[in-house]
Amino acid sequence: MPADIEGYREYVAARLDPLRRTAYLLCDDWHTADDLVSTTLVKLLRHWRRVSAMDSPDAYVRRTLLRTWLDERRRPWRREAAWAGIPDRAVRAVTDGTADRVTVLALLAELPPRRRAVLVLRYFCDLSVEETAHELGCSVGTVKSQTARAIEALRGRLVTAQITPREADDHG
Amino acid sequence: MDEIGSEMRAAVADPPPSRIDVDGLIRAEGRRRRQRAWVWSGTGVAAAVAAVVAGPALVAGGAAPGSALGPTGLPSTLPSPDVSLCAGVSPKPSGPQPPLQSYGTVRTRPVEAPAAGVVRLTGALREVLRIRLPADLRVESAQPGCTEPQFQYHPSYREYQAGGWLRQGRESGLFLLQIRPTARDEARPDCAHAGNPQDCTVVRHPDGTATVRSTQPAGPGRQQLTVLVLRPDGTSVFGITNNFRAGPDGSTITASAPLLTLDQLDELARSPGLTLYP
Repeated sequence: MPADIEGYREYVAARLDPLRRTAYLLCDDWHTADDLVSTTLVKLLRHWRRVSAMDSPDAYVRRTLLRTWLDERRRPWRREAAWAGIPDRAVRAVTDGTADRVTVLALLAELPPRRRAVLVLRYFCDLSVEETAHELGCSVGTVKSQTARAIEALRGRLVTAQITPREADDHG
Repeated sequence: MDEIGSEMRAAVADPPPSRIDVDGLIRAEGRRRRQRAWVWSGTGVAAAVAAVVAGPALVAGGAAPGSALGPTGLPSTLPSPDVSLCAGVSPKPSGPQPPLQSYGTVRTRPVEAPAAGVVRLTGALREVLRIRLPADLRVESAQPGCTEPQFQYHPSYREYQAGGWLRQGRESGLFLLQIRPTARDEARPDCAHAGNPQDCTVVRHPDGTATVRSTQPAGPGRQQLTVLVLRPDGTSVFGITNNFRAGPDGSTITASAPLLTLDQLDELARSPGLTLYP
């Protein structure tokens, strides 16, 4: 017999939007984000009776989303493939208002999945170091080091991205 | 690094419309649950109940039929001396019992202690079986060493369940009753809650009780009947009976037809004593 479906509907209606945004930041693709969230919601529905009684269902859902994303990344068809030639890739349209966002997303996409997850949890979901460690199932020290490395990488690439056009102007 | 957070928020400020169909997900999950319920009720439930109950009881040496013992973990001095319970095994949660739901979307939970509920409901069930079952039909408990069916309380689901085998001569069939608080989304009787929505009827009774009746074909000569009784007081009684027994090598027909009709199963499930709010 189904659990309290109305309660589930209410919960999903309230949390769907932030979940999709979190998923998008993790995977950098809205279609994949919707797939991840759908999978997460199905898992949530199966355990809703138990989860709805928890103090913090949000933490459970976030953890499920993360696991779904990390598992998805391990799928064979997600692994890198060797190409004889460089395949065409969609190029983002960079306009004035979106340049910084695209830069941040592009830089996030270059990070390893767990390091990206650390940044999203810490700076988008506003979780503490301890909460992030709990969500990812790792130690506090790991979260701190992953955060530091991710920020260092972002900072380095942002500086490079900002300097390159200026240098080009100087030489042009 | 507040800039990272603000940049992330800006990057997802204008999401495209969602492709996620929550209702579709719920429907698909409902289909999966019904399929699982069908498989379990026809096969696994009886075997699982027997295995769970028989194992520890056999190890412990079992109890004499009819001995006035409370279920394991329950006090033996229960407040109803008229109902003798077998020393069965009550399922226990693997961890601490979760707190009650905090969203206010569930009906008020019964305040009756499970130990008292087991005694009261078992007494009511045995009484109604004694009165309502046809003379040549009897129910054997699924618990070894017990002659009569009795309820067990499942803490994880906060529901009571009683299982047994209907016997009539050489024919037999499953008999299972589950009693639980009515979930809010099930309060309105609807065939969407039936085991087989394609073969389902909703019957409304004068006392305000409604029954969702359903018949599920389970292969040639095999049939399973289910009733979901929704009482006005907020109690749901789910009843199952069938005419086959399934095992690892397939199912075996145990009777030419289920030994109870939908009317009889409905009547049993609607017995006044089978309520969580006495």
